[in-house]
Amino acid sequence: MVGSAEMSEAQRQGPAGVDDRLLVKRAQRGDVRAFEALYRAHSKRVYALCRRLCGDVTLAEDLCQETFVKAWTGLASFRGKAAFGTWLHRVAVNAVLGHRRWSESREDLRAEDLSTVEPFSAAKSSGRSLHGLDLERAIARLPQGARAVFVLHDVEGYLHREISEMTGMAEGTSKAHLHRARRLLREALE
Amino acid sequence: MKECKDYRLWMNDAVDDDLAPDLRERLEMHLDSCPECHRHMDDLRSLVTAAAGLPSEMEPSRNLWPDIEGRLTGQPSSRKLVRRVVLAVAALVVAGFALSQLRAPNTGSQLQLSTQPGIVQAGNQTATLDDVRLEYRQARDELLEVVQARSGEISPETMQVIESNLALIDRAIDDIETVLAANPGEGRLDRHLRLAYHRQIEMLRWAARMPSRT
Repeated sequence: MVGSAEMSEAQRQGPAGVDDRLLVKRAQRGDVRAFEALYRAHSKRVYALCRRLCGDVTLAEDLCQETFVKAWTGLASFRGKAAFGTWLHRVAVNAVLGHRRWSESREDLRAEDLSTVEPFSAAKSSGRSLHGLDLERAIARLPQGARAVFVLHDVEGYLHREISEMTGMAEGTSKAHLHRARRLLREALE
Repeated sequence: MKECKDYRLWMNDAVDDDLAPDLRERLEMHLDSCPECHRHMDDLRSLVTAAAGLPSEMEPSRNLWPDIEGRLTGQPSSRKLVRRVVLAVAALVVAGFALSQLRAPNTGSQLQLSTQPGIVQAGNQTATLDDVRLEYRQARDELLEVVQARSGEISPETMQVIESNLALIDRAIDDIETVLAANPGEGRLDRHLRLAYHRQIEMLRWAARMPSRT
C-alpha cells in the first residue's frame, strides 16, 4: 500500500531495494539510464495500479507509459518530501483520471445518486472463498467510480481525504462509492 | 429499535476502524445475536482483507520501456518502427520487382567476390544472427564497390532506382536493429532483419550483374 504513509527508510528505496534518491537526482539531471532504473523498479506496481483502475489491459499499458513520461517531464517538481514511489503513484492516478476515456464518463465519479446497480451474475463464482483471480475479475466489472475508490482505498490504502484531493469528489461521495463497491463485490462473489 | 439494514450501514465504518466506540459496542451486541448480520460482517472483513492482500505488482504483456524512452528522447516508438520496417520491406519487394522489369542481368557472368554470401542469400534461419550480419556486411561492402565501379555502364535512371532502394532497405535495417537491441530475441524482428539482409544482397548482386547500356 502506498497511500497516507510517512516516508520511511524502506520507502526511500524502490521495490527492488535500489536507493531511489540517488537515481532521482541523476534522472533530474537528465540521465535517462537512471530513469530507466527507476522504471525497472516501479513499473510493475504502476502497471498494477493502472490496470485495476481502468480495468483494461491495453489501456493500462498506455497509461503506464503515460505515467512515466509525465513523471520524467515533472521530475523537477519532485522535492523528495514523500517517497518517489508515492509521488509516482499520484502521477499514475492523475494520468488515469485525466485520460479522455475517464473524462467522458466522469459523471460516474461525481454522481450522488448511486442507486443503479449493474448485474454481476456473469462474474459469480462458486463457493464462498475469495480467490484473488475472482476478485480481480469482479473489480474490473465494477462501475468506474466505485472501482476507482475501491482500488484506491481498499487495495492501495489511500484515505477518503486523499481520494477526495485526487479525484475532486467529496469525501462523502468517496465513502458512498466504496460502500457500493463492497456491496457489489460481495454479491458478485457470493 | 434498529433493524439489520441500519446496522449494516455501520459495518463499513467498523471494518475501516472509523466507528465510534459506543456504536461499535452496539454493533457487536447485535452481531452476537444475529447470525445473518454476523455472516455479512465476516464477508465484509474477508473482502477487505483479500483486497489489501492482492499482489501489488503485475507484469505488462510487453516491455514498455523502449516506447517510453523513445518519447523521452524523441525517437519513434517500437510499434511505429516495426510498422515502418514492415512497410519498408514490402516496398522493397515491389521496387525489386520494378527493377527486374528494366533489364535482365547477365545470368552467365560470375561475380568475383572474396566472400560468397551463402547464409545470407539462402535466407538461413539456423545460423546465428551475428554470423549472418558479419557475412552480410562483408558481401555488401564488396558488392557496393562493384556497383560503384560499374556506375558509368548503367543508365542514370536505373542507378537512381538502385540507390533509392538501397537507401530504403538501409533504413529498414537500421530500424529493425534498433528495435531488436531493445527487444533481444524477438523472433519476428529477427526474421525481418534476415529478410532485409537477404533482399539487400539480392539487389546488389542484381545491380552488379546488370548488362551495360551500350
